[in-house]
Amino acid sequence: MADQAKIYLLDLNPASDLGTTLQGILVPSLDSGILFRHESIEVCEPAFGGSKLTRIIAHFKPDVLFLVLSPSHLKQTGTLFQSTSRELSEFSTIIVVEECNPDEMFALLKLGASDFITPPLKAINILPRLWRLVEQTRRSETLTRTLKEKLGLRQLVGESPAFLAETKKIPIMAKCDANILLSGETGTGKELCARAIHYLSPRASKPFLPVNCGAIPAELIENELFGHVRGAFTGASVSQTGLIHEALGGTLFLDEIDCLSLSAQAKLLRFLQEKEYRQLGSTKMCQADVRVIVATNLDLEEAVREGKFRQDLYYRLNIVPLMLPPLRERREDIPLLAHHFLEKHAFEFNKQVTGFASDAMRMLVLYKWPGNVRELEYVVERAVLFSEQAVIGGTDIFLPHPKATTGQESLKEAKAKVIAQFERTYIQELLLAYQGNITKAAQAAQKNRRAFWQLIRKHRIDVQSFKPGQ
Amino acid sequence: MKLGLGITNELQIGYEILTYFIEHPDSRDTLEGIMQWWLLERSIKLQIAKVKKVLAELVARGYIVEQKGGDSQTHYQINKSKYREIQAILKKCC
Repeated sequence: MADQAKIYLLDLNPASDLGTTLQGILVPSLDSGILFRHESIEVCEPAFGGSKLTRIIAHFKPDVLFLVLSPSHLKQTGTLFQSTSRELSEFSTIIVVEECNPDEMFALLKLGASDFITPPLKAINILPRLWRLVEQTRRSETLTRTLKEKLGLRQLVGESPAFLAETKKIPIMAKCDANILLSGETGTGKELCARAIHYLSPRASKPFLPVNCGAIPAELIENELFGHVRGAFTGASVSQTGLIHEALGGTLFLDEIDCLSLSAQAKLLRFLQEKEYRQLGSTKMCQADVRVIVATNLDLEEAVREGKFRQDLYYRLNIVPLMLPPLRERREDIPLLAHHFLEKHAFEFNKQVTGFASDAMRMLVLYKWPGNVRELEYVVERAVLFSEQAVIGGTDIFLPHPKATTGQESLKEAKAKVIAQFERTYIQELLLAYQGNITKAAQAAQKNRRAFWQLIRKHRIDVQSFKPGQ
Repeated sequence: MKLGLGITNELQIGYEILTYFIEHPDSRDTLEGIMQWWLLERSIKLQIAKVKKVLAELVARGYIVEQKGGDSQTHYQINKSKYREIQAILKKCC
């Protein structure tokens, strides 16, 4: 009996049909290894349940508790969670509520809730989460998990308040299964954060699939995401499952989400709402349990206003937002980051480079970093590579000098120009270092070959001229 | 790049990646994720196993004693009756 998974459904909002619907989903799927209890209590004050909850915990010792609440309960539930936080840490609690205010839900997650579910309640959305939480609770690799969180998050280098305010959200975001919108300029570490969320989540043992929507031609993106059946279009001689299917059980990270066409946005929205999609050319609906994390370096609200991004999709994605600050807004982190990259690349190139001279560090701290942390890493990598001294001096630091603006450009235009210039120089330097070998240059940039090729085309760089003998 | 807590040998890296796949057959990621998270998890597990083994050895030799706490966790502390012997061993190690 001790090995049985125990699930408790405590319905504190029986006036709604959430508890009944949930029971209807849970009961048929429970096998003999599961012990299930359901209780409904009508309460006006959710100071209600402190003692009730403590009793349940003491007697039933659930692995997972479903707590059905009414939206009016949410504020007081915080008090309940605070008073029972020690007991709550022994199992997973999933809040089920008709509608959620993102701030209140985030506060509950911070206080100890594991996840939250809002209608429509669907088996495909609930059962996989439940089994993952049961498995996680019962695997009891607490020490491994704690160390993984602690050491894993150290990869997000920075101590500035602006950066920490955002990265502190990651463990909380990892616990729940909500869609996440990561925003921040290029090179601020959005993919690093998405990966941290995945690997600290109960989905960690399943695929993490990063996709750069900007690197896939607009007309192909739907095919890439949803796949197609044989004969769907000319040349579709075999079926292709698509990225959603490939990410089953795991996390799909869609970078540059703003590059999706409106038609692809509509399909993605349907998938996020219903966990259902159709392969191109198919009439059959497929279901998939995949968490979606998206990222953008644009202001999506502005894109919504301009009609380039669907408002309903924006709201669906923006449940739990995380906004990474640009490097120029956390200059105090530059020395820390610079030393981190110096250590990394000195090890990689097997060079005895140990630090920065004060003039070099001053240059790094004063520069505007339009390419953010990625650009800083590239500058430090290059300095380590070419430095002939143990200490990197000012002459080892190569920073691009963008032309002064005409004074008639908008911030957006001026920024785009600087980023474009950085990208172009960066690609040229890599092609030079790898003698025009695109595969190697793409690997060094940690981009896939296709995405790297798109950048070469975008900047009309002549790869041949970098090849030996040219 | 320094890999998770010192897994640097190529053979060991290969071994740890394959072990990770066996433990998590559905996992999939790029080079970045493997370096940042898979090898980190493997090295944490290796380190925990090593420390557990050493603790068991120290308990077996009587240098430290183990006790089950009320929270069902095992707590370790020095065996005070062996204090001088331990000091002598530590001196020799230096």
